[in-house]
Amino acid sequence: MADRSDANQQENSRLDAPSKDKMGAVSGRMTEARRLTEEALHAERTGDDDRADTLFARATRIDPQAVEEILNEAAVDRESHAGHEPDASLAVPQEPPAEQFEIELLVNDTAHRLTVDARTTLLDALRDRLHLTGTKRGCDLGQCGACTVLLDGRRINSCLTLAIMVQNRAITTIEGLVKDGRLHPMQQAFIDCDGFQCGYCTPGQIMSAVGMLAEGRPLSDNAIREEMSGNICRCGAYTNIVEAIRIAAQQER
Amino acid sequence: MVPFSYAAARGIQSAFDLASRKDVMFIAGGTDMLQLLQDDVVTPATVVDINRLPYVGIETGEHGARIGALTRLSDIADDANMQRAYPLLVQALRETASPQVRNMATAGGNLLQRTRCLYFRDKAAPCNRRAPGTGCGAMDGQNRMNAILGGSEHCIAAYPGDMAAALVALDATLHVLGPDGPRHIHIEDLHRLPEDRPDFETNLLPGEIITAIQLPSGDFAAHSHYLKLRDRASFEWALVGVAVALEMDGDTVRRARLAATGVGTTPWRLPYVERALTGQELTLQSARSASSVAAEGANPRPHNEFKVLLLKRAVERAILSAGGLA
Repeated sequence: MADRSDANQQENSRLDAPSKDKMGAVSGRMTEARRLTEEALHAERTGDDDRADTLFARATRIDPQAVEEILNEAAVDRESHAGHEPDASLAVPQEPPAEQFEIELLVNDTAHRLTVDARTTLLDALRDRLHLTGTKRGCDLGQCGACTVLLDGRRINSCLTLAIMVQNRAITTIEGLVKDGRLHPMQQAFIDCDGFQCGYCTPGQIMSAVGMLAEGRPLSDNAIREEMSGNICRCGAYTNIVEAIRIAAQQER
Repeated sequence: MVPFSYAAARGIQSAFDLASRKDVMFIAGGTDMLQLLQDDVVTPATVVDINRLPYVGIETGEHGARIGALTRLSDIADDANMQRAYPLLVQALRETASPQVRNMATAGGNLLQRTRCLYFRDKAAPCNRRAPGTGCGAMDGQNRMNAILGGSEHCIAAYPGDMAAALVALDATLHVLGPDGPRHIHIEDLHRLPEDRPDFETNLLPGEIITAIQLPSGDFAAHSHYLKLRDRASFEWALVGVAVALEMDGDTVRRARLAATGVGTTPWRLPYVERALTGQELTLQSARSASSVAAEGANPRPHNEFKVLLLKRAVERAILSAGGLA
């Protein structure tokens, strides 16, 4: 997790310097668009056109100008290499296109058919393919809990799950909690108790809390803290998160 | 992640057939596998999903318990019979990882989890366990989490699991099934010392699958304890974990089995402590005296020297807790 955020910071400062842009939001959008575009170019190179299209579309929505700039750079790159014999020792080995699998995922009571590479985690499938971006990517190593979803009613880390392994099992994401336009009592309790600051960990916290109650766990404050230990909040909203869960649990009874 | 192919084993024969391909790895809960795949620490050509094999569930009876290897950790910890007969195991499981991970991880997979050594998990670092012959980065590096017992000049990676220490104290046996038939492996014989081949981590043969964990019955349920010491209160690996199972005649220890995790290159039984306790009246003094030999044979490195004293004190505390004196 630390490595990833360091890398993001470096990327931010690199982009900030030439434009003298002090507007964090603007450079953040640009960074995100750049990241998505570079991922899309990579996907295109590896033959995953579906993913490339999705990523280009997302990047364009965020910052069309940045996408165009990066694509121009990439074209210039290719031209400047034309006519030179590529140095074999510097060549990045081309990955062979990965084998594709037809799978069916049952998410929030809706069945989705999609074609995936075996490596696709449930988190990637939810966010990048089904565009259910409520489920968040934090560490991608099962340590932060931002990606928590329910599998057959129980909490799991979607980043540690291959999508192909959970076909036709009931997956519930934060988007699936709203019923008839009404927030789930746990969502309402998080709002009422101010159980978040930046909100990034919140979908994972709420899914973990909903799962915790469904699993019938003990509900003392200490038990709640222990049961929620798989979800990290860097803002430190823990006190209010515990309160929200306590209140939602009382309502449920 | 490097691209890989995927196949789901429909039955045990299908698992063996798939395993005979090149560079195959089995996947069950996947909680450690996905971390290893994400970091390119393992790069299988094919991942074989064994979750459809029928090794799920817990049977308990007069002669002990049998836990299917594909049973999830939370299901073992939530089982009323296990809570009654094997509170030591339940306690160790409740302190393992996070609720999310416990809902996913399987018993068999937990035993086979790989070390948390920083150098093993960083493919750019030297590591004889991951890449034989490249050296050991931990030996003179960041070795705070590494082993003080059972290391060699080639590897000092600590075995990290909590459940295995409990199973050693409970004298468990593993049921294993392979292309050449079934066999039993005692839990203490599953993991290998690193010696000069740290890359050979277990005594499982190619294609073999753990199908069940067999626990003998015993008279230790009332006098057992798992003590886990770590850098934060929850969801953290053990610096030292100690499992104690005592059978008592009144105040006298009839039989003692102890094992530690986080300190050895394998789940580490503590025979010197067991011998010192057996036949003794359990008192504050006898517990302290027995714990003084807990780190016998330790060979610490600069950053993990603290584990020698921590192990002794943890053993003392765990014995007293098991005996109802703490």
